[in-house]
Order: sequence, then C-alpha cells, then structure tokens
Amino acid sequence: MRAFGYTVAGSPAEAVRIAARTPDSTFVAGGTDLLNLMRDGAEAHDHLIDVNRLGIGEVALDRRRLRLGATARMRRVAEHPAVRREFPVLSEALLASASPQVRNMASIGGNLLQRTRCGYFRDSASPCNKRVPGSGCPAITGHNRGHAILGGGDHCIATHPSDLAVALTALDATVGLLGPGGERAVPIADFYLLPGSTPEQETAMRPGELITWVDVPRTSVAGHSRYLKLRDRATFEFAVVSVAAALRTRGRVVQDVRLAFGGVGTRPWRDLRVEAALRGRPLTGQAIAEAGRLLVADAKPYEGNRFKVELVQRALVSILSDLGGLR
Amino acid sequence: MSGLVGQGVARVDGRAKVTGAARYAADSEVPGVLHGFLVMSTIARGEVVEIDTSQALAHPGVVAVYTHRDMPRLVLPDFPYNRRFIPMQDARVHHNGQPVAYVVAQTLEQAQEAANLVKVRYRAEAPVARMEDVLDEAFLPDMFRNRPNEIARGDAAAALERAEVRIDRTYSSPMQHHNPIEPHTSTAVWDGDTLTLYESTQGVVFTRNVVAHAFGMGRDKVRVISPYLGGGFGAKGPTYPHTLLTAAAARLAGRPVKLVLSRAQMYTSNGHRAEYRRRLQLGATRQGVLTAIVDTSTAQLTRIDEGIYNGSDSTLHLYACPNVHVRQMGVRLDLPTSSYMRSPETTAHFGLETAMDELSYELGIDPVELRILNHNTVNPRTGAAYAGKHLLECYRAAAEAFGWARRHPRPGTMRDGDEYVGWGMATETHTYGWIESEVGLTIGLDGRATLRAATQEIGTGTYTVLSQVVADELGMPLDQVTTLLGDTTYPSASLSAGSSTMPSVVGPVAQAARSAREAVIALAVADPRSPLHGVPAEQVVAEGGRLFARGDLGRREGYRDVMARHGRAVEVLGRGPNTPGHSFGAVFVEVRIQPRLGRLRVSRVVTAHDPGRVLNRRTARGQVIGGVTWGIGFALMEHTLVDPDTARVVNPNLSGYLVPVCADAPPVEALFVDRPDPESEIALGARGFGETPGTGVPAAIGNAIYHAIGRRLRDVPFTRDKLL
Amino acid sequence: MIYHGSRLTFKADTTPRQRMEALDSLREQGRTIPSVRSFAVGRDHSGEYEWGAIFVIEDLDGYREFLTHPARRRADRIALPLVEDIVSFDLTDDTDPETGAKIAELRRLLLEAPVEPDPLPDRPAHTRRTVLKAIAVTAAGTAAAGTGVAAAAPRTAAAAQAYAVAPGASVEVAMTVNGQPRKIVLEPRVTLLDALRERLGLTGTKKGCDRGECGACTVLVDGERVKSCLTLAVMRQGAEVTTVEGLARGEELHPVQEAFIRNDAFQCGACTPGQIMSAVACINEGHTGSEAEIREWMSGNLCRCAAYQNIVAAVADAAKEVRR
Repeated sequence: MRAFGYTVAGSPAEAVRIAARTPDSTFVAGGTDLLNLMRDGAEAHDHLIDVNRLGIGEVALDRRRLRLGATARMRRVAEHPAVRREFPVLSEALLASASPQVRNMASIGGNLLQRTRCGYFRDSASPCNKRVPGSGCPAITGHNRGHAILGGGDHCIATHPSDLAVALTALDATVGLLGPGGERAVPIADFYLLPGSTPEQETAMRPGELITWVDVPRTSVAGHSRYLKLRDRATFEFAVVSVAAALRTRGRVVQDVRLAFGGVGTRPWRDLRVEAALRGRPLTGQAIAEAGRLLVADAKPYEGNRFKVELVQRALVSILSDLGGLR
Repeated sequence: MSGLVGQGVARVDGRAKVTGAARYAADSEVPGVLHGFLVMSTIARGEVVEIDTSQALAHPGVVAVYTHRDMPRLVLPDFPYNRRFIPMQDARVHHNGQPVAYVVAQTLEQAQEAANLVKVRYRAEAPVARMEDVLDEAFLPDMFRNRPNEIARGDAAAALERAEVRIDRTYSSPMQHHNPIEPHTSTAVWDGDTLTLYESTQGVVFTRNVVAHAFGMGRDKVRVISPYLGGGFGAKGPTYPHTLLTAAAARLAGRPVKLVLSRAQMYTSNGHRAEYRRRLQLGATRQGVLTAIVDTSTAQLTRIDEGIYNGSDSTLHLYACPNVHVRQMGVRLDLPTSSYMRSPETTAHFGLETAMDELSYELGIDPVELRILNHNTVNPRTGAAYAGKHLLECYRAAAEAFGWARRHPRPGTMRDGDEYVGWGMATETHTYGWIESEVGLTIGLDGRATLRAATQEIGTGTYTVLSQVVADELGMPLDQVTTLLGDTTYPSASLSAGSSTMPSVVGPVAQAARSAREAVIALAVADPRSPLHGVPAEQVVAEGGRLFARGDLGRREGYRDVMARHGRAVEVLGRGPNTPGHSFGAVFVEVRIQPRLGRLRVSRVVTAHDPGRVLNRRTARGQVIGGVTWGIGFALMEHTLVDPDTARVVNPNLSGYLVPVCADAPPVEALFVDRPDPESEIALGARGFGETPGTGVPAAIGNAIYHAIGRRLRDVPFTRDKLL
Repeated sequence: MIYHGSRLTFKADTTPRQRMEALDSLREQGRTIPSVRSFAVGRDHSGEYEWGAIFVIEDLDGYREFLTHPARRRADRIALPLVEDIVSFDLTDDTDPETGAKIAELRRLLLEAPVEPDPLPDRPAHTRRTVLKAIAVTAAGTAAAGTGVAAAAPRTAAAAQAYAVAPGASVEVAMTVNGQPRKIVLEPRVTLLDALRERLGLTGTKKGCDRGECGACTVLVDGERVKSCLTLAVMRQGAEVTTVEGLARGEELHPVQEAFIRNDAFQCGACTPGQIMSAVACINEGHTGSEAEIREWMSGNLCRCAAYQNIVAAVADAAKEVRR
C-alpha cells in the first residue's frame, strides 16, 4: 500500500468537507474491503477519512421505515430484533455474508460499496475495463464462473458481490448521501449502474459523497421474506447464485412479491416483469416457472457460467415454494 | 517400558501452540533485520528488457532493490531444488509470478510499496497455458528421481483385447495448491562466511544442502532452523528460489533480511499439484477378476521441467492383476513447476478407484466384494508375501461400522425427504518413504533425556511421538524427556515428507534410547556406590525414571542418581535402516444431494486403516480427519484457475481458491487395525501413514454421487453445476 | 498549548559519547529557547525507540520561535548526522481545527530550510527532511466540533482524540494490549496485525493470508473478534486488544486453550491462535448451541490441517466450562 494520510472526522459535514479539499481521498469505516483493494492495486488513495465517529451508526425503526446508519456494523443489523422480525431477508443476507469476524467490522455503507470479486479486477497485472478503462475484459474469454449472465456487455461482466444489496434491492431501499452539493436520497434501483461502456462507474454516487444512511420502507411483505444463497462450499463464500424474496399471498393468490438476485447480474438484479408475472396469480409451479423464464429471457451466458441460467430459475422455484408453503 | 507408545498421549507441544509461545520461522526475533519483498513477473514467457528501480529506491526506508544484474551467480542445485533454473540469474522469464527483483527496506510496509514501484519492461512471447491445446504433443518424459515413467507387467494390451468385460474411461483433475496457513518465509543472517536461515521448511537438512550447493559453501557453513512449521503439505518439502534469493539479498545488503511470501505469491513460488488427464482401461472376467489395467496419464509439465510428481503407484501394486501397463506422459506449458502435494498418489488413485466402481456396476458385483476378489498379497518390492498387510480387515471393519450391508446398490433408490442419499467406498493407499536418519540422545546430570534430531514437527506430532518412544525405551516419565527438532546443528534426520518421518526416525530414536539406557545401566552396575552394583546388566530394568534389579526391586535408583555421581552426560547416537512401503485402508462415505439446486454434502465418513502399529492414536486420528477433509476439498472445490491467454493465476487467494471450512468437514469415525508390521520392525512395527488417509475419498465421493443420483462424474471438482 | 516531540533512532555506528552530545544539544534547546515552558529529554522505556524529547510551547507564535531559534539549528547540526531516523509529532489541545493545519504548515516550511553547512567538509549536508521520515500533527479536540460525537463517544480519552496525519507521516497509537497500556508510533498504513507482530513483538497472532480470508490473525478488539489484517492500527486508537498471549492467567490456561489441548484441536498450530480467539468470542456470543451452529460460526477460521472435528469438540467442551 502506498503511504496515505489519515484523518478522523468528527461529523458527517466535516467528513465531506475534508474529502472535498483533500485530493485522492476516500472514506473508511470497517476497511475490510478497502484494505484489500489497496493491497491489490485495484484502488489507490492518498488519504483516508475515518467516518467511524460521525454518529451515523444507529439502527432505528419508526412508523414508516427502518433506518440503517451507514456505519452500523453488519452484525448489529443482523441481530437487531426489529430487523429479524420485520425484515428477515436482511438479517439472513447479512448472516450469509463473510465471516463472523468481518461482520463485526464491516459497515453497511462499506458493504454496499464493496467491489467485485472478479479475479481480473483484483489482479493489477491483468487487463480490466473496470480498473483501467479501455484495457479489455479477459473474463469474457477467460474464467467466468463467478460472472454475470444478466446486464453485462463487451466491457464488463463482473457481478456485484454484496448479499445485503440484493436484499435491499428487493425491499426498495433508499440510500442517503451527503456530499459537497448537500444531501440527497437515491432509490437503490438507481444506485447501482449497469456497466455499459463505463464499468468503472459502479454507482450513482458523485465525487466526495458519503453514504449516511439506508432506509427500508416498512411493508407487510417484508416480514415474510427470505434469502437463499447457493455457493461452492458450505459457508464463508460469495454467492454463486442468490435470491432475496418477499411474498404476500391471500389464499393461493400472490398479492405482493419482491425478488432480487445475486451472482447473476452485473448489479443486484431486479426485474419488475418477473414480479408482475406472478402478482395477482395463484402461486403454482407453473407460474413460478414462467416467471423464471422471463427472468433469464435476455440472459447472455458464457462458457463458465452457463449453468446459472438453469440454477437461478431453480433457486427461484425453491425460495418461492418455501415462502408460499408449496412444499 | 512404561507403555506410552500406542497411547493417545496429548501433544507435548500443545501448550506452546495454544499460548502463542511456539516460535515459527517468521516469529524469530533477529536484531537489525530488514524486510524483503519480491517483485514478480507479470508475463509468462519472455525476457526482462529493463527494470526501473528509481521510484522504488526513492521510497522512504528502502535500502536496496536487487535485480538479475546484482545477484551473485549461484550454482543450480539438484533435487530437492526442483526447478531447472534460478530466477534473477538472467533476464529469462519462465512463468508468471517469477521473481524479477528483490526489494529490501526498513519496514514491511515500505518494502511492499516499493515493490509496487519497481517498473519492469518485458519482451513477451505468447504462452501456452492450457493442457487441452497441446494434448497431441504429450510425450513420455525421462526418468525422474530414478523412476521410469513407463512400467509394464505382462501383456496388458493383449489381455485387454481378450477380456470378457472392459471399462475404458477418462478422468481429469485440476491444478491445486497446498495453501498451508503459514506462508513461506525465510530470514537470512550472515555472520562472516556463515549463514543462518530461519526457514519454514519440511526439511532443514535438505534446505541446508541446497543452499550450500547454490552458494558453493561447505554444508558446515550453513545452519537452518525450523522448530515449528505452520503447515507444509509438500509446499515446503523442496527448497525454492525465494530462500536462495533471500540469502543472496542479505549478503548484498550486509544486514539480516526477512522475507514472507504473500498469499498470491504462494501460487507461483512453491509448486502445486499438476493438472491431469487420465485414461484407464480395465479388463476383467465375468466373475470380477482383473486381467488387465492400462493407465495412461498426461500431466502438466513446463517447458524446462519434466518431473512427474503424481505416480500411478496404486495401479501397480494395489490389485493382483497380471497384466499392467502404466504410462506417465506430460505436456509442456508456460506455468510454474509442479511438485508434491499431500498424498500425491491421490491423483492417479482417484481414477483407479472410480474405474473399479464403474467395473463393479458393469459386473453387478458389490464394490467391496470386487476389491476383495482382487486383493493383492504380494509385496511388489520384495516379490514375497506381505508380512503385515491387513487391508481385508479394513474393508470388513469399516463396512460393518458404516452399515454397508444395508445398501441397496441401485442408484437413486435411497431417499430421505428431498435428499438423495448415496453410499460409496474406495480403497486407500499411499507409498511411504525411508530417508537415512541419525539422532542424538543425551542423558544429562539431572537424569533427564534430551533427544536431538534434524527432522521437523509439521503438525503430525513428531515432538510427541518421538518423546513417547524415548520415554518408553528409557523407562522414564514423558515429562523428563525433551525433544529438540528442526535445527541442522542436530544429527541429520528425515525430511518430513512422503510419510517418511516415522519409518525413518523412530528406529534410530528407539535405538539411541536403548543404547543410552544400557550405558546408564552399565554405569550403575559398575559403580560400587550404586545399590545396583554388581547386578548383571541384563537383570536391570528401567521404569518410571528408575533402574531396578529384576527380582529384587528393593535394589534401585533413579537415572538422576547414577548420572549425578558419574558427573558427565551420556551421549549416544542412534541410526538404522528401514525400507519404503505402503499403508492401506478403506473409506466409506455417505453423501446427501438435492439435485434441484445441485446441493451436496458429505454427511458421514467411516474409515479403517492399517498403518502397522499405531504409535499415537490421537495424532494418527488427526491424520485421518485431516486427510478425509483434504479428500473432500479435492473432490468438491479445490481448483486453481489459470487464464488461457496470459497464463496468470486468476484466483491466488483463499476466497477464490476454496478449501474446506469447518462446516464442510463431516464427522469421521476412524478405525485402526493396529498390528505391528514385521517388515518395519525397526520402527517398532509402525509404517509411514500420514498420506494414506484421504487418497480414496475423491473416488468414494464420486462413487457415492453415482449411487445417489445415477450420474457418473469423472472430472473433479464435482461442483454444483455438475449435479443439477 | 503545543507539545512538540521527537524520537531519535541513532545510527548503529554512533558512539555513546556522540549520542550524549546530541542529547545535550536537545536539552540546550529546552533551556535557551524562551518560548519553551517545559521540556524533557531522555531514554524511552516503551521499547519502541530509544531516545526521545518533548517540548511544551505556549502558542503558535512561540512554536514559530521554537522552530526557527538558533539553538534549534545548532541541535540539528549536531544531531542529524548521527541519527538514522527521527519520528516527530506535534500535539495540541487547541480546539480550533485551523491550529493543526497551521502547525503542519510551519513544519513544512521548516523542513525545506537547509541546516547550516556542516563544518566538516567531507560530510554531506543534511536537511531535517533527509532524516525526518515521519511527521504527525495531532489536533486534539477537533472532534468536539462534530455533532455526532456523543453517539459514538469512545470510552477513553485517547480514543476521543480526532486527529489528522499527513501522508508519509507517523502517528502515536495508544492501545491496551493484553491489559498493558502500549504506545506505538507508526504510519497509518500499518495494520493492527503488523503492529502486533512487527512492532510489539506479539508473534502469537499469525499472518496467514493478510486479506481476511483465513482467520489466523483473529484477535479480540473491545471484546469482539476481528481479523487484525483487515483493520489499521490507527483506527484502533484507545482500543482494548486481546491476543492469544493474553488469555492465560499466569500458568493457568484459559478453558478454551485447555479444551484445544484435550481435544487435539490443532496440528501444525498456525491457525490455532486465531481459532482460539474466535472460539472465545463464539462462546461469548452464544453460538455454541449445537455442533452445526459451532461449525457455522467457526467457519471464518480455516484450518488447513483440517482438525475441524476436534475444534468443534473443543469449542463445545470449553463452552460447557466457560458457562458453568
């Protein structure tokens, strides 16, 4: 790692102010991904601004929403009684992430901003359009088992690794940002960008902006939610395929359903057409299968990840069957 | 004899290991030590054209940046240095991740960052990275370490032609990496023309020899110290370039230098299990008697190295088949040289034991029965009957404990809820080696025993087992024995590799302890002040740290009394030859599969092993549970990925290269047929054993998968996509 | 008040007499520069560096005078050729955040100024920059300006200090390690793991992967298990750190350590300190209800020897003991 400066900020406003006047600076909360990115040469910063003392680490539930402070640790959120009761998918996604140690360290904001695990992105000697725009994407012809079948293109097919982001995407979360231009809120659907021809631009965040909170609306459907994560070893691994699902039925008929997918898209993947195909219909194997086919209609698989086309549909069947009591 | 040998004695180094007091190589406190860090090549083939070190040298704390232009000329050592070149001796690049510059700085952080600042320009040539692109160029390499790569017995081709039943299948396994938790590390300290290395190595003596050879020094001028090793699994068996480069850098810098490889660097610096393709042809009678085995394998080699590290040994000796033809071929790729990795014979054995299962279905014979039918009783090394092979008992014991008799052989017939249950089995076997060893034993004036041997503790329990042997032979409590290992100032003893430590060292240790006991007894009976004075030496027995006159137990005194009066320590050496051989066992596994999601878990494992005499039931069991888990890693997840265009490793880390975690490890019931092998009498009847457990596990899992869902998998790892 | 401190690492080939001369020149600064209110020069006993000096100065004007005083130039001329390294820091209790910046600015100006030519012609000219490898400016009290401090209020005074460190600078980090107060001067890029191993000599904590993927470096920070390779030491200002060396009470091992020996829960021992620290936390967290639960919650620690079955047994065994 190059030598960097370090400042402990005392308030969100101060943190943003310091960032604005310090070139090549970034924020650090847990540092669990940032340190590796800096070691790998995937990122380089001259200055870290410690945001752990800004007072933005609370988890609070009010009438309308759950607010996760950006520096709340993954473990605290996962164990929070309100989260477990009303948003089980969040708790499950968090507990399926990383290791107990890292969950003690890593923050919610940092979790959302973690970078892809693509081996080419993390190897500074390999070409990578995300790391060095225009240098090429070896994953397309190389090893791409962990890569996306949805939302990719000629420039990048890397997946976003966050389980939490998948769960938040299903629940229509909003990300609160503070920057030199003031405060703003971005719906999570708009927060993560498709790679297009600029895979280096992963989120809608503007330079110098800090995530200060994440809001999740209270809905009855969120209380009946689950996270299914499929991986290549029993635990402590990133998803091969994952599904966050929330379901509300009356009788057998789907009143509301929210679905987001991990491991298959270049961003946490949500396709409203899939939900629409299920909503208002009885939840049957047939209906789920049709919805699944819709999900992968535009899939572009590669040699190493072709199986995900089938696996993600089966994962959808599995989680909805469980939630809907079909088994 | 106090009867410690055979008992599950707790590890004598346990306290040091659970308190953090055990000093591993990188924990050594060396005054004035500088930190080294390697700059690795980013091309697979070509030449260094220019190295710009100016930015690196300008970084605060940087003492020097060495390149091939600065390095002293070294002599290319023989095995166990297993690469046919030394990096940084010239501009040539043979693989990605080859050292091209060596940074030395005051702190680790400075060295690491300065390494990033070294700018290297290359002339690159297109590498060959994939076996499948060059399979038609496979060739039969020359002998490696005096072993031929083609071995034929009888006329396998003709026998195959005539066979009533034939199996002809291909199997494959990928490149795998050892990944010990402790990274490779070397700290070099020069004092005039003598060199001390604090080294993570499975063999201090071999490392010393290699380094002395490379630097053209006398062996007495090099000392290698490695009291604890944080895992090796073969990765630290051979001596590797980073050790030579660190010694050279320390000499150039005129200061001690410490190098710890990064995890990523470990994927190109210390060998790996080679990728393999294997064609197996079995011929048998309808009754299930094997008449022919043809085993043709192709290994990943490099452009300049031809070592075959994964011998088809079990094909040759496990079953009584008159016609066998083994050919161990290879193809040349622009990758780092492969090497030994825990239980190297697993690679070949996976194919053989899967093919045997396929044959059992072809014949409609139970897989255990098929193996019993073809059981081999002749030791191929001696041509005579094995004196102590109890494999048949292993099959029986493990099958019974597992409940194999309740198995319905038809695939897909055992269900539990939404899970398919599969039961599979395989034979386990591995070769063990013998390496000439000598040990020193001292009985001090305090009556305590100190054993010195330049072999190593690599986690297998060497400190503990050797202490048990000494205590038993001396008739002394365990806490009066100190065992010192891992230092070339001690007598030269075995490399801790190839399951050879116990068969090689136990004999000399027992020998030394007996000599020491006899020497002390001789002192006692000759000393008029001793209560044992005049007792015939053969009438004196030792027990609990004391010597007794047999038949007159009132006449006795402690080792301590004899030694204190004598006033001089008793020092003896022990040595004695043994022979290499094989250990055996059987493994039975249960898998549970949800094919809908491709989910598989290994839910139960029963093993029974025949390692000759069990010296320590705990440490032996440790090898079994470890080996089984390695087999699970081999079967289900381990896989090094190399980019087809650049020949760079894509997953050089423990989140990309998966090894089993706690939740992947199933309960293992480990049974032992615990009978001394007369052929290893010198080692108290114990054979080499560490690498036998796990050899059958990949095949047993594959066989269980077939039993569960009727799908035959022949290419490891058996990942979820193959089970959908 | 401004506190200006320096730590000196003398070159190995300097004689005791030369060192005394250099230290005397430092003392002379303290005695002769009017703006210095009090000072101390002496041997440091923390084991991190050998010699140190601290000068207490009233205000910014006094600080400027201190930095430019001839006595200080004289001290530089004598001391700089003798030292390998100087780590220098400034601390202020001034609550104005600008003060820190001004101190840094003054220091920077001073660094550019050449030291008066050495009277010995064959010696190269030194600037403070050539030996001053690290500077830190610590502006104590800036945190008080923030609104969120109360919510994140740390327990100790040291942790309450907000501060800024320039790139390439070092900073003093105070932590309690295994019950002992420890101070370490280091660059912000030093991980907690390397601070423990390379600076404090606590080598019980192991480096396996240096990227959070093996767990060998697990320690407890304020009672919670963390991977010490994934956190910077500077982020743990004021923390309480427990390593494997800190578990036993004298000769008496911690129940988890005992259970690991009893159940043969290790082989090579490289992952063991991390496993044990993780196990202590796992038990405290209450994740030992079943074997399956232990397996899941111990899976952040790889054991390549794969003593997992025995680790699970040891954790279950120790949990009974700890909870009794």
